[in-house]
Amino acid sequence: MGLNAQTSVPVFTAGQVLTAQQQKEINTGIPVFATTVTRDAAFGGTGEKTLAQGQYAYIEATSALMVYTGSAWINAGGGLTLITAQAIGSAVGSVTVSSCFSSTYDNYLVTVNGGVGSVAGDLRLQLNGTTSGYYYSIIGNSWNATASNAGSTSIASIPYMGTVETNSLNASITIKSPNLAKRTEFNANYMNPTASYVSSGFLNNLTQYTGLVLAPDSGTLTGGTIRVYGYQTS
Amino acid sequence: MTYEEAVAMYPHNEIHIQVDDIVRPMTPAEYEAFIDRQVNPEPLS
Repeated sequence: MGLNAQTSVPVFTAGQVLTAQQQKEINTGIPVFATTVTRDAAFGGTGEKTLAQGQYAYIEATSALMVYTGSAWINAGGGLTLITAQAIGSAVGSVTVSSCFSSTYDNYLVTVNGGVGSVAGDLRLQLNGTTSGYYYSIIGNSWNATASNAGSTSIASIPYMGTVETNSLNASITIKSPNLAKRTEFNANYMNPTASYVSSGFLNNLTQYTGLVLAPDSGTLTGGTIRVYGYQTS
Repeated sequence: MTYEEAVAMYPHNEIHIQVDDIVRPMTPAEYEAFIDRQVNPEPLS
């Protein structure tokens, strides 16, 4: 529990003499709690404020700013919530992030930054445990505006989900419905010294997935971070 | 790239697989699949 974390949100009676701790608890602006459990325990008890719509709270455990709607606590800090940040090891042929999708979110943003590849190429994505049945297409232009495109109907992964270079590693992938019993869809970009592409694809089954696998089309990855964010649903 | 070139470029003891925070050497089967991917990249279109 941090220096500013509190375990109660107090109310006072007329003429009551306040302690230093009580004055600290009402001088925090947005109250800070160690966890959602200590937050929930801090309202409604004897001498504590009644929880009501518009109440804010900051949770140390998840670094989340939350607001109470009158019936539930929701994230108030923005439209995306960081679910996990996975550091990439050295000379790895693939990286599995095994527990990043859940029923909490329908759609996800996956970013990859900071690392390098052993050779230049593209980044390929699988949903954890499925190695066939992916569909994709890319539409692009060379840097002198010559159109190019490609696609396939049933391959082992979704290609062109990011760019692997020997001096950089970049991806920003939108994944729709991986944990719903629905078809999962993917959108991303890929670029190299020759051309730039918009890439998309889907996996045509109703499996509910909890994780993903990222791998370069050839060679290995070293360093950088895979971050998975959930799009808030309310 | 030939099989021999791929093995020379990516020796078995230098190639790893990562699952969350665990980075480990590839099993022989994983390594063979990895080398096969270098030698026979999947056609995309």
